[in-house]
Amino acid sequence: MQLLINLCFFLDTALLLVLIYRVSRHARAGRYQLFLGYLLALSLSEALRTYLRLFALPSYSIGYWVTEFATALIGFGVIWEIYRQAFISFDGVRRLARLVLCSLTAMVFLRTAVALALDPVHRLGPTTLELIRNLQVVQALFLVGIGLLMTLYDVPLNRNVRAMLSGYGVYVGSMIIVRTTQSVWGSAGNLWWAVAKQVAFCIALVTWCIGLWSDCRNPVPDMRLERDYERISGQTLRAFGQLREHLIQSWRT
Amino acid sequence: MMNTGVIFAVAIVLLALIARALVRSRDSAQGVPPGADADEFLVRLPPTALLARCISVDDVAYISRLQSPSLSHLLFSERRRLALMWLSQTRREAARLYRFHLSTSAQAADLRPAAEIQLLFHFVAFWFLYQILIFVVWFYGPLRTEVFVRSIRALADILASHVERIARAITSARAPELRAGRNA
Repeated sequence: MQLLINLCFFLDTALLLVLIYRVSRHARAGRYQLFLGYLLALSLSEALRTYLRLFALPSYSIGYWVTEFATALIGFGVIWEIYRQAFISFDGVRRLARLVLCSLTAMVFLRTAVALALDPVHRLGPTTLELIRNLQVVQALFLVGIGLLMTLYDVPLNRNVRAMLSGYGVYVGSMIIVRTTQSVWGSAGNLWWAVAKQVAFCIALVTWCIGLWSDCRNPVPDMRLERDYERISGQTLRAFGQLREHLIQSWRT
Repeated sequence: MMNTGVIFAVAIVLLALIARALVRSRDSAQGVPPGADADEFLVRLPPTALLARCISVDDVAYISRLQSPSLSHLLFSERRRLALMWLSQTRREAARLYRFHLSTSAQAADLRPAAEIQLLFHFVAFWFLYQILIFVVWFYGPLRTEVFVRSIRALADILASHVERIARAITSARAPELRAGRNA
């Protein structure tokens, strides 16, 4: 088992370095700078953990959780990058996405405030594992919101953004499942959790490497039709009214 | 802080969305579906004649005269099937309209989030109504559904008239106050 973990660790480090090299080329052209920042934070945290494991073992667990928390926090930058790139040509949907994200943030704050008000002593100090897991749940909610809007409005994505979204989504989703299971079963020392985390990270890195290898331009939106929003929404609203009336009136012969 | 079930659900929805996005792998902008024009906004209503036939009592009266339980059963089950088909056709039309709206308004720079939420509300309300009708038709058949819808409509009309009467009463009671306020 330890061999598998070590193997995954070396593979992850190699992939991370290759990815940083490739993404830094895009970043020089002014693209994906936030994503590059996240990758650099990941590599720095890996370097710090390796140093602590080799030369300062007693401080390793503190260092591990601090870097884990910091990278989870910096992960919000990846979501911002996905949001910025995905809706770059869709001003209206971007406004809607902003509203959805703001509402989600408000809901999370409200829920935390209510939980704190109901049970301040127990809720104030959740374990680091739970805190990081909760941060990732918020990220997952943001990604679900962005993903739903993309699916609903048929927003086309270039290969780079699709890879960023799928890699980070798979990583966050798997980590939430692993961490929740870990906190429920309470076996923090189990090596299987470490393997699961390494494999999830490895999948994300492979996805990013494939998708971000070359720079892809954002798809140009089709502007053949007139986009008079007032007219479009008015017509749809009238059509719905007509349908609803038809649905009810048809039963009254 | 959070319920374990909700957390798992969020993670699974996210992974499912990612899988869907990967299946729907398209690089180029698709924009509006080919052949899309203003006619797409026309509501293609399913024929009411079919439903009228389903809820007509003539056939029921005729079949009951024959006193054949199997024939009656066949008539009712076929009518139920046709009524459900008619309903699903209406639901498909609503889905088509909503999809068309989303694909045409995606690139509108002046898209209003409030209007989109209002439209989503209308779509959900329609879908809710459709589900109620499906449930009623499935359990009671189209003939009784007609009676059910008629009684609901009558009830709604009674309620609306009551609300109107109350509103009128309030307005007339406050009229002197308003007039006095305006004069002052």
